[in-house]
Amino acid sequence: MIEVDGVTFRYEGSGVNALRDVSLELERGKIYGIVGPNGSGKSTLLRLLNGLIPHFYRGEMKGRVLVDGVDTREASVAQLSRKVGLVFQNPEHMFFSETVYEEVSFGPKSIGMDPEEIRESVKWALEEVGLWELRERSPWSLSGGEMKRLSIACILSMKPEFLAVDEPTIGQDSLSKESLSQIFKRMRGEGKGVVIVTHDLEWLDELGPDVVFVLRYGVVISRGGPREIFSDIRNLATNGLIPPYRYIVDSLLEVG
Amino acid sequence: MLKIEDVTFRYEGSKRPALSEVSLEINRGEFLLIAGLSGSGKSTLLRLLNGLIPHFYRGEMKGRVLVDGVDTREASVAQLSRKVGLVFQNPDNQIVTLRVDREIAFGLENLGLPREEIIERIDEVLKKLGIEHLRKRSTAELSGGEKQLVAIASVLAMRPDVIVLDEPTSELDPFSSARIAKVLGNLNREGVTVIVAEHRLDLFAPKASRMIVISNGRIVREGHPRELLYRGDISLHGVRPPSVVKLARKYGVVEARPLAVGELIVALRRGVRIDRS
Repeated sequence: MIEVDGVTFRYEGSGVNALRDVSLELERGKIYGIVGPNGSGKSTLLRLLNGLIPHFYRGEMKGRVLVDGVDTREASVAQLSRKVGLVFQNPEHMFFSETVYEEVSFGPKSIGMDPEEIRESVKWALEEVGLWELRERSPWSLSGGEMKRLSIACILSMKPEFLAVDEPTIGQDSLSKESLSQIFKRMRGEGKGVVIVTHDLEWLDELGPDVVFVLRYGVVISRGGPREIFSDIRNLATNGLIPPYRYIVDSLLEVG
Repeated sequence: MLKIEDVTFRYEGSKRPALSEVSLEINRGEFLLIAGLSGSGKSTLLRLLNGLIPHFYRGEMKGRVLVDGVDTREASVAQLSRKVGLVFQNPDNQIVTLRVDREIAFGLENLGLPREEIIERIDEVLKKLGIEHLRKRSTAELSGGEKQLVAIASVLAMRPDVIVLDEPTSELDPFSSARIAKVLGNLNREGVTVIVAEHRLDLFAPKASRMIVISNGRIVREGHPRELLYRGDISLHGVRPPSVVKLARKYGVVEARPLAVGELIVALRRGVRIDRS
């Protein structure tokens, strides 16, 4: 379990707190959606989960984050990466290997997995995202959707128990969005915790998260099941979010 | 005004053609929406229109592209850019200066226009896109949506007959995306021909006068978006109809063929009224 306990964080050089007194708990076997307008603190929250904050990003932090009971300040990012894997918004900017297979092997090698385990986990990760057949290809020859899945495989190969993903559907076509949904649902089915930051409520609604958190100005302003959160059209709209169309239609029909 | 005649194009180093036997005619005043999965050939098609293919991208090309009767192979990209303005997917790749007004002036200076004219055109496009307040802002501090509007402004300032956009909202949040769609709709009403490749059919289908679907380098569907998206029995080659279409089916108002949420609501209210009477 990940416990974020009363965290306030201000980036060095910034006058405002990116997160303010945020507390929440994330469990295995569930999908969490984190939504909010630009600048609401969504990405900061993700960086907190795998220790990038406070290890890499400087600033002032209050409160604490416990991953399976261990304070992230007392663990290294390498240790944490086996618990919480973070997929960035544009990780394809970081591909550097000649083949898909090598790209996915990089993470496990760098955290010191033994060769046998690496072979196993790379194969598993590539199969999980449906890229095993393309393992000899260059990452740069992949389509946008395949690159996105590759970036997820690169994190999965380190066998994290939680997968945190920043805006996975940005720039993705409908087929790719569907395959991402399937991947995340399968992860949940395998007992992993999946945390997704997104603006794309339409897609999130189809994915069917267990819990949705709404962030604004660094504060969790509401949390609940997707039905409860998405049907509160007013709350979403006043917080810069477009509710899934079916909820807009439902609410307008009720009013009408 | 734009004519693609039986074009097949294969990028150098690639085995398969990116486009195969594509023919398409685009008339003045159209709003053409190009749908298709990633890698289907949408960007390649757009690159043909302003001569980036074959002038910049190497490969083997058959057939020809005519812009106002001129074969793109016989015109320079600079000449073509005055007719066909291209806006890229990621505005960061397009923005080259540090301030918004200078960014818009950049292309105009390269055209060798006099200072007064440049200033006049900057005023005009900022107003047209409703971003006068961004005039003196640093391009570095703009949000993604603002950057994309500035990129569109700098293309529009060249007064092209046609504006071509390659997934202009793919890096943007939903609100900024909706704003881009609205701006393009307005421009089109004012007479600008708009050609846009997009995944966000929910935002762009309601604005489009025509839609094509590309799959594996071929145009596989063509028609008015209402017609294409409501032809339920036909697969759109992986392209999914937007949610409004699904909801219209669910609520049984398919005859109205709504594409925008507003249209769906109107159809539903009417439907409800008829049921009650």
